[in-house]
Amino acid sequence: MKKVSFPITGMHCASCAVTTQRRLQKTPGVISATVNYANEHASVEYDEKQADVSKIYAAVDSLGYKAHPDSTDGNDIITIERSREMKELKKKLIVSAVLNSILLFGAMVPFAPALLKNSWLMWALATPIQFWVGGQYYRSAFSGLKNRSANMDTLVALGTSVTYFFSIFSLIFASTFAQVGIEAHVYFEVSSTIMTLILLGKFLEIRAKGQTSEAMKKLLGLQAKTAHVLRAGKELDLPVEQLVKGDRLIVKPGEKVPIDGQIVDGETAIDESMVTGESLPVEKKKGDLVIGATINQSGAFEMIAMKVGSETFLAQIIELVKHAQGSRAPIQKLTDRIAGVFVPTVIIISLITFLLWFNVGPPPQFLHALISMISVLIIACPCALGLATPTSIMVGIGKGAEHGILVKDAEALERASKVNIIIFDKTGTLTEGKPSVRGFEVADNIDQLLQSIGIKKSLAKTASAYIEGVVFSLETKSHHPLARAIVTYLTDKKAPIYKVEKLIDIGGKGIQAQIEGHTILIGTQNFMEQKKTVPSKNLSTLSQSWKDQAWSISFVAIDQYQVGVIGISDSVKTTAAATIVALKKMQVTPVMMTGDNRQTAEAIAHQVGIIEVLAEVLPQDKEKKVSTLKKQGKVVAMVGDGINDAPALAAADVGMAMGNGTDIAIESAGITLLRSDITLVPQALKLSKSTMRNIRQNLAWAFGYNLILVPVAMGVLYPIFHIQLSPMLASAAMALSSVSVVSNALRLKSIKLSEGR
Amino acid sequence: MMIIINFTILALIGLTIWFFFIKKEPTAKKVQDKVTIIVEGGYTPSVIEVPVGKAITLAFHRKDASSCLEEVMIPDFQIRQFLPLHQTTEITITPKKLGEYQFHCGMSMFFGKIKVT
Repeated sequence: MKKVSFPITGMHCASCAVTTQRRLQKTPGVISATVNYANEHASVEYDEKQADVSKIYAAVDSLGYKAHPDSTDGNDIITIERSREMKELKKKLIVSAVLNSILLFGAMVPFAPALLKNSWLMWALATPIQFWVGGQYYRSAFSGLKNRSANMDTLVALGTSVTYFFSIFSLIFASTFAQVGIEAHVYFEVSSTIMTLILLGKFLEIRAKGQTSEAMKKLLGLQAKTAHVLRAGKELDLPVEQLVKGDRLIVKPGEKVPIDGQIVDGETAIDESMVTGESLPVEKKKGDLVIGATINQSGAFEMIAMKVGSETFLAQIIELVKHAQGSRAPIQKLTDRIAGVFVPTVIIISLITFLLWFNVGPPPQFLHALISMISVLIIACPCALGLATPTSIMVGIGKGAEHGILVKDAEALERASKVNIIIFDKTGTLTEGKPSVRGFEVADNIDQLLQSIGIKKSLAKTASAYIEGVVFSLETKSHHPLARAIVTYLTDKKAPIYKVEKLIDIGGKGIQAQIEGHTILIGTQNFMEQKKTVPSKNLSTLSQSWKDQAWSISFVAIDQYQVGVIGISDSVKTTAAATIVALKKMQVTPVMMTGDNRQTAEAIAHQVGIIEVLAEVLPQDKEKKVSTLKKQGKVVAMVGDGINDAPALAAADVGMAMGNGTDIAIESAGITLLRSDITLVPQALKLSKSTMRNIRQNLAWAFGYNLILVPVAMGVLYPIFHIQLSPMLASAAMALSSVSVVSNALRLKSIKLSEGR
Repeated sequence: MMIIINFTILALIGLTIWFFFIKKEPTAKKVQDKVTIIVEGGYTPSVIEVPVGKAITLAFHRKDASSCLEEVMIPDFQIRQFLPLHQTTEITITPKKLGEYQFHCGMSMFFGKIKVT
């Protein structure tokens, strides 16, 4: 049994909802269905053996209404809610600004008409601001108090209430106040200015906050809406949500690829920049995989849908980014603890402030005490503290996603900023990862050798062809990356095939097997020495010169005699050297790790500018090498393809998996680089460093703000400078503080990740 | 008069400390599969007890318009969820390890706890 919930549009009355509900309930396979008119949502439970989502959507559509996919509405709700909130705030802001300017004019300007200076009129003007505009603070403070907790709204409600009610008492009981020795004063303009300014701050904050989730909105907006589907020979236009695996789709030039799949006919160039950040169009032909939401540029093609719904590459990216933005950075621990006790502490400080001014302050003591207490309540800003870390994390992680850098969580981002050693698994990161055979030579005296071993050369005309056949037969059965290069090379040469027996794969060293009763060995020089094979002079010389060119070498031996040598090379990426320079500039030591022998490894390292090389590392030892470096107190990042080196990536402080489009396993590493572009590595480090710097700025600002201004509001400047902070200035400071934190976080959007651009 | 005011303020300090700091953690509400949590000036219930390894649905119903409570975060489960006002938003988690996990609002001012037993 499965459950699905989706929004429906087009229903204009409650009875429409009832009709839809009834129609859904009658759909075969549907167990239960409810349609809510108020929020225009349907929830349907169905038996997946008898019905599928496309049938359920079709049932709704058949009535003339529209069923919508589930995935995007979550963010739409936020947008709708935010704009509703903004509208409400705007209305209140205008009203309070108008009333407040009249109040301020009367209170501050000496030549203002006497009517405006009338305290009773001031009361009348301040009242709607206090209760209609400020109603939300009262409601929020009250519901908090019911749970014995407090928030920023509690402080605003308290501060303005004290001001407002004291003014009323001063107005009505002026003579009584005088009798008991309390100075009377009316502060209506103060309470309403505080309300107005804080409201303005809130308005600006919400507007800025809307921009923090823009990256996510962009990702959600990428999804294609409809697809041309071939069903029963007819071309139908269907919403993407209704596609099923195996659907044959037509994609025309200029259109979005609707979903992940494989091209079955036609060829084209596809712009994948929106998903992987790759700026150049990628050529695709029959058999190639395409990613949903990318744009088909040149030709029309037909494809088979392979992944739908939450399985698609884009859906996975969205899910990962969503999770990452919800994670907590370790740096946040302290602020979390403080934010929880902040408000009650401020209330206590404000009361102490009152006591100090009242007992040891200059006259009029009561008024001084009251004003300072109000300033303390108003100036303290817990929001800035609470917003400091999460807002930067949201913006930083969103920024990464736009550039093809997916960060798993805030913790990975924080650790990446501290990296001082970065290990590259050579193949596929520093090199193209597409090794090819550059040389295949046999021993000078090969005919003589084969004869002395007693080989019949069945199927083959020459000794070379025989050896090629032997190598081909063995390598087709091996999974080693170099094996693929050898197989491709020998397939083109049409090498004969022999029956292989007793095949043993000795990880990272070579393979051993039997053909027609002869023992065949293919592997590294080390492997050959271990197996005590007899070297051939010309092969040794040849291999030496190949090694100097950074080729990988495989020897071939038959019955203990070395008979051939294969030279394979993997070209170094053109951007590798510049990347290494960039990393060194960031004070990060690059290290190359490879299974190649030392000589080959050093030759490549020299080409790209790496000094530290870990050569001849067997696949199973990669993890150990990472751990060893970690034990030396280094913060280690490991860059690899994420499939063969998953354990090493997991062992590192930060694992960076690098791949091309859909063949990468998202979530396998702390940071996933969506395209096989080594320049993303320093970019990811830069992103993490910039984000962490931004967080530290925010925290310093938020802590500093409260630590400096709360004492100022208490009156520490008074004994020396005779300055007492006005509550109105306090509210202006407070209104600006949380906006500043959000605005600073938004600055992260404009940082340049790649050099020179 | 001086004395009365001083005493009143001191009493208010005492009251604030008692009211906000000296409170017992509420008894945990035992939950088997689904619980509705009212979001209004905090979370009610704020402490829930759930069995390990079982999928639990937390249905947050937000009644409080304060923007402090517009998001709920459960960091250990990497969840940051926007809660539309006057609506119920369901979050399903499956705790795999014993222990206590906090959930809190987007600004870390209101807290709740999930005890996994």
